[in-house]
Amino acid sequence: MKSKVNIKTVSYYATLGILVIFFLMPAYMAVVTALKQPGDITLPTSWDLPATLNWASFSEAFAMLRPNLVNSFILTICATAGSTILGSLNGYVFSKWKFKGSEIIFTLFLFGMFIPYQVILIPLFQTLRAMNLYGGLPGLILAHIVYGLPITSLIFRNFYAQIPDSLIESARLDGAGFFSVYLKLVFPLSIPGFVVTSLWQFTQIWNEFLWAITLTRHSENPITVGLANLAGGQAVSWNLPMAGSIMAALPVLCIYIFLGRYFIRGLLAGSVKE
Amino acid sequence: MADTISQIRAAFHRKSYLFFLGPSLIIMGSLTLYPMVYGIKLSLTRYNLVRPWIPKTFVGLKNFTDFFSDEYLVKSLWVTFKFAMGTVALQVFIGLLVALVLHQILKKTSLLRFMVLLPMLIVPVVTGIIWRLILNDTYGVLNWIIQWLGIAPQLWLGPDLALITVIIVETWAWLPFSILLFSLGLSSIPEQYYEAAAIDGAGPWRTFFTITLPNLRWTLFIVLVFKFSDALKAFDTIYTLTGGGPGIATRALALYVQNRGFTDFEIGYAMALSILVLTISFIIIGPFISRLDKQYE
Repeated sequence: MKSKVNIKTVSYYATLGILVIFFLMPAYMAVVTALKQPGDITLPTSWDLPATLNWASFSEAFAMLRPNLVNSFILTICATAGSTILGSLNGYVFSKWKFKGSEIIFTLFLFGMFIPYQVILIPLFQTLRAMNLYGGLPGLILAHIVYGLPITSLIFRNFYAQIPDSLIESARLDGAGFFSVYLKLVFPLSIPGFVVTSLWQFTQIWNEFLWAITLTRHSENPITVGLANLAGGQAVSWNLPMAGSIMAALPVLCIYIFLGRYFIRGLLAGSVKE
Repeated sequence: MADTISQIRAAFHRKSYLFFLGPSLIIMGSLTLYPMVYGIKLSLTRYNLVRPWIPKTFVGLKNFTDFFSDEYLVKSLWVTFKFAMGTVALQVFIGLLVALVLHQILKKTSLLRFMVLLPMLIVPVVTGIIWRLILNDTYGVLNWIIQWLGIAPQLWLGPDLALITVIIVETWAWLPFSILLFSLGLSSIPEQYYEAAAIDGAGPWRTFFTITLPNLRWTLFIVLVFKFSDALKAFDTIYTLTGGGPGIATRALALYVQNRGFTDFEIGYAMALSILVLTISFIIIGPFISRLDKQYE
């Protein structure tokens, strides 16, 4: 009996061990390769730690990707702020200020969530061209705000559903109107909702590639496109794309390390029904 | 007069929600409804951006009937289908297995959970690039490992293996999603069910098939819907790993649409393809939305 338990435990931990290696190996390879001299990256030693730490990879990759990183920060911050604020306003109307037809509009919003990005790509490209917004960051920001709205409105609607209607009613009896109810009562209670939606939006927009590569010209390319171009060039040695990859992955990783538990907590809070 | 003003004021108060909803409706209308209508119109035309001397002409449903003679479309549908089957099967089986193991031995070990979640947080383009290093046939660590095991090095991104490799990398990136969902599903099964099964003398397999699996139905359904619709959208990882190649061996639907639209600039035909993708994805998502409504009734 005892040995049976041991075999079971051993097989559990073996499974986990394989899993951890499978998941962490790419991260290890990225860090190790980024820190090597270009000449030291060879097959027999690819697995080894670098003999000397080559921090220059990072400064060199940063010099190449700096414009892309700046573009990505502008894009992500503007589009996250825009879609989150508008989502909060929509969620407020959809949950606390229902009117005739609001359910239909909300359902239409939800359909937007399921439209794959590549389906809208071509008409979006044509529309942005007609609006003179094709190629630059403002057009891409606008596109991300629009396609973020369904999910942000949904999260805020579910979040505001937890605020008791009686609270809104009593504020209205005290003479508060549509705007002052939002500003004085609903908005101050929304901070966790803002954390969840902006984390979600930040990740989505930072990581997005298809629109970024299709809708922006070279000088306005976000980091995903800049990195793909850097890695696509055959002449570049591997330490640079790896250093660039680490830089591209860091913002989202940091945000989750520091704010991740608020995210999980907020998601759970948002999913609780009325 | 005062009466009119107060009427206007009352109307203003009644419609004040429009100030909040209005901006969203306007920009959503201009960047979703208008493009969709315009896109449907485009799909009925022959319109090539790099050959402006050929006028944009109305061709009716020709773009759609052209699907049947487009062998590249058939190939990319076949690639997408194999990709979907491969990623769904791997992610469901391994995801469930790992979730079961985690559920057995861990209550809350956040470091391990973080490590398992890591791939999901990494930019998909980065995933593609890092794996290209690992899979590289001359410096890649994977060939080093299999040589050490006494197997000949392989061309992982060559014509024979590229699709399988892409499926495995995609699984690496998205396995956390299914592990997470299955873990949540498992932890919502009441402990009493297992106690009752143990009293009835059910073995581990019987317990799994009569209690665990039926209670994970809804989770399984969600995983399947999301993974199948993700396969339709798969772009970033494939683009950075293989660019759809070698040849067209890994050119899934999303890459094919992008190629036709932005490499060949066949805007009309690419739009017709987009409508095909949208139809397929609504066929997959449709049952999910109707079930979702029931779930929350």
